[in-house]
Amino acid sequence: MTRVLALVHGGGALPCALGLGEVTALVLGDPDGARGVAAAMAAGVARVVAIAEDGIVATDYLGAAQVVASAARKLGFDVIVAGAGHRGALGPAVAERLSLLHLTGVVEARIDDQAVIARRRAGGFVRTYRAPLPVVLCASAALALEAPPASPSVETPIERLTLAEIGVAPAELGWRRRFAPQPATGPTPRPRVLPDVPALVERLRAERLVGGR
Amino acid sequence: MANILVVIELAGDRVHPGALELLGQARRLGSQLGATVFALAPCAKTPGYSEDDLIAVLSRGGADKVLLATAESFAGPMRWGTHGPLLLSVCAQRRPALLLLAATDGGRDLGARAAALLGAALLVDAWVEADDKGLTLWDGSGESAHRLDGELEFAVVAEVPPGRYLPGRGDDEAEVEVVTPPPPSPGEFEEIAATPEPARVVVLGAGPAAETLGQALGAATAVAPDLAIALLPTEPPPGESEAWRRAAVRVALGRDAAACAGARYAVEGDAAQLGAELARLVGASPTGGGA
Repeated sequence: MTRVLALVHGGGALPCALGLGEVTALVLGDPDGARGVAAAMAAGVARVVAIAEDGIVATDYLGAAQVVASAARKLGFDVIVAGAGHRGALGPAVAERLSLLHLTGVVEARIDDQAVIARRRAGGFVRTYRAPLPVVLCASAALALEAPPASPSVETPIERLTLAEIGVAPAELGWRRRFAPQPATGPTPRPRVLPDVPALVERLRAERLVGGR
Repeated sequence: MANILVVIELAGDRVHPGALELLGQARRLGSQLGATVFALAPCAKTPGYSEDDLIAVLSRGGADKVLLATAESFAGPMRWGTHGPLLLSVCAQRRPALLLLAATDGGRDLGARAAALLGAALLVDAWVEADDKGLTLWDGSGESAHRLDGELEFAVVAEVPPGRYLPGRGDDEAEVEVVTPPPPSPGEFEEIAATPEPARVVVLGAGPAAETLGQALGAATAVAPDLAIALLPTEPPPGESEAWRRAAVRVALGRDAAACAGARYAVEGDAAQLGAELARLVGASPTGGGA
């Protein structure tokens, strides 16, 4: 059976991951961790693995990706499904760390003979792609807004891993803290005022939000 | 600061407006900070050299140098599998301190992976500005923003939402360098089907104008619409609508549209008239409400 590692961080991975094979939910850090564990348990995944250490919370997208990549090597996988963690940056970064193919904006996927078939919604089209396993799929941000799937299931025990057990030194995560922006009041976005409706239509067409031309 | 690299995404054979705005902002930063602005343009076919062609547009838009790469694999939507090796190769040669991408589906697909590969800081909802001390970079807006402070000794990849900056309006001529794209990665994702799908649109507002606009756009209820259009005033205000808050792009039409919080685009005037005109223009288009 296909081994699926779902990165519960940020939401969105479970709806895409369930049905691909035997799902292990990987949960990073707090406070998202508690919600992630609850969602994974409710969805009836085969296994829940949690890594909750202070260093993970403070690090940036690449530090988190390093943790996931190391955990994935230890746990084993055929497909990694990432959600909205680090606002969608976690999946591509994990793929880079593991030198795997990745595809973002995935709305649906299935396994077909050692390959993944994934549908991606972007730019006014739904495109279907095929790639040999292993791969990283990054679920569409819209999936993170859906209610997590629920399945009546026996209670899944939570396994806990430490950074030491997956071979990540806290200093590696600490180093990445300097790359993480710090809270500070930023500019306030204001609407771009367009002169008239034809200018708006031209703009929306260029962004493929309305049809024509 | 040495180099700013802007990835130019094409929408058909035209530059995506978000990329052109980003190039304009890169030009302003480049002039203020003494940086060279490179525009990386992956094209499926070699562009022409007339006034409205790609190179002229990028020259006027603020590029010091256009890096032109042509390959059939650039015909489809921008994503890492097709465009990543080129970006990687250009980054290795130019070593940009700041890599800018419009925060589109394609930009997001490239941005995070390029950042991870470069070991760069990543801003996914970026403001890229400069003051006397140098670059000022935020991720997010207002009270929920985060800022990169101090002398940056590392590269930054910034994904900037379309509509945030104005395009450049120069008359300088950019230097053009043809870049040979590396071969596509073996075993990549292969596209096996493509089906047009209209954008998910939600119209906020009451009355015949909203109804007509909704019909023209094929509007419906959606958890996460691609586009939300508010005919102002709405009751309750748009900000109280979950569909408005979750929409990828928000448009306000009406007398106070410019003050509408959260809108990316606004057109001021009588909401009913604007809505009717929009319905007429998009309703007349060959594919109706979707792309």
